[in-house]
Amino acid sequence: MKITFIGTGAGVYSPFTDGYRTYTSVLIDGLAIDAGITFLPALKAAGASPAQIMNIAYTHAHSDHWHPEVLRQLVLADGPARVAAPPKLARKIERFLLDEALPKAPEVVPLEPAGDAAFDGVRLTALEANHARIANEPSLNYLVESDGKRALYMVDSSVPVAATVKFLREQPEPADILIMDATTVMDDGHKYMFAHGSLPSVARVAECFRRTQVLKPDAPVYGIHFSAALLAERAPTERELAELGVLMPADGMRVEV
Amino acid sequence: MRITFLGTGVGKYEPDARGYRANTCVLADDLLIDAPPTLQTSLARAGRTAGEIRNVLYTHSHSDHFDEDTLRWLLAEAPLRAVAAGPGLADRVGVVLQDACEREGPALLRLEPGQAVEIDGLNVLPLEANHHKPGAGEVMLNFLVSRGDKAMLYLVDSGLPSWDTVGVLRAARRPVDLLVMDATEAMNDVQEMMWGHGSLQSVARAACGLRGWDLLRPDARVFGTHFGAKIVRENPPDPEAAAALGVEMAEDGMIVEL
Repeated sequence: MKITFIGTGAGVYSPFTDGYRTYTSVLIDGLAIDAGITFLPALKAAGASPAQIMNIAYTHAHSDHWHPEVLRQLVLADGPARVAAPPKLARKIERFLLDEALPKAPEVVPLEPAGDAAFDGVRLTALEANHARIANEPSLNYLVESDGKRALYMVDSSVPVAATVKFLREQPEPADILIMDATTVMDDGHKYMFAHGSLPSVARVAECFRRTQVLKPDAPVYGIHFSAALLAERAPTERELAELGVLMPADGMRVEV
Repeated sequence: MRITFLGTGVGKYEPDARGYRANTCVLADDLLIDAPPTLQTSLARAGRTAGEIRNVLYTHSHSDHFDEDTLRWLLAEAPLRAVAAGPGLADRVGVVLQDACEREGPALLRLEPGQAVEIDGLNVLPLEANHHKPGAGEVMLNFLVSRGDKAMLYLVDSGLPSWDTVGVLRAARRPVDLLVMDATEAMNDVQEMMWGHGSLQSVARAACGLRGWDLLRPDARVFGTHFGAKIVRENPPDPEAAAALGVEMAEDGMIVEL
């Protein structure tokens, strides 16, 4: 399984500031999870092209995760064949594609928590995120299986809800990598904690996931979706990261599991 | 508003065990939140009587919060005016009321998250809890309870409140004087049940986050409750360590005046 961190940031769109991170998105064996407004330049900066985006899974409808113009450009560049999203967002995407009358519009697959789909050898299972409900619809996280490996992607989420953890504990195999929301960076009591995580909260969840065989003992753990403001205010030291056991990927970083 | 912590524990009923705490329930003036099987014992230990209870609110149907026999006992012993529960539990409560009351009994109030009700002068705002769902269709509740300019936020049998629950609280614009939160895991911050429960550390973090939204008054008191019997026995929490976190440990029979 090959993973590229296309973007690792959140917050105000300010690409010319020091240490700017584009909006969070990952590419896992041809499947992009989320494609917000900074996706195309970030993809280019990561050395990838729209044609490599075989499929897209959206977590929710916030504009740093889904943006119609980005999808339109990806489709025009012969990008995704299929797009998965929570049902209400899926209907919105379908209407958008119809209105745009694009050639070769991708198939849109609605996914609810615990629903799954197979896209070109990549199996995607939707999980209920602990984030804002949009039009009373839960945001999604994903369990991605490809090449015999499992990636647990829990971004734009606070500490997972009990139903999601129960579902994960029922899976036959533990995950090989955990990618989690660390929006508030080192601030463990920030007011956004109810919809997001921090590096310490990622460490706590990872420890519990390892104890309960949701995550393999040696699985790497990545925090992403960093708030630009909070990262500038209080970045972790290398020692703190080592103690937490959490890695901080940069935009464009590639890892192989 | 006078808050009495009648029970502050969870787990097996072992009243003679060291550090025993009865099942969690509180009395806010004459409003009881949850009526577990240990209620009679708790009232007797606290020197209180069922006659002081006029209304009952239920958080959810788990057996340490809702017990049919205890509700029947209350219906016989307490001058109840209303019994309130959320979706999925209200029907069960209604069946008990119909069955137990030969004449006109207390009113059954069906609660919905985000929809405030007034119960005998107390304002109650039900909130959706973040907990393991006991059954299909049941919505588990937490509460913002207020009278006049005093308010208590009761977040028990819940992990961190969800973003939507925090949104409901922000819309209510009601900073609280007292935060009562789930600390089932006591000082064990990383536990298998951390998704639907809290620890003293997670209570401290949540209090900090809620302060960030001005949902707690600057001088608000913060209590952890609903301590796991086994957890407390194996690793007794130190009230001083809790105090260092800015959290007080609720004890059975403790009274807090707001």
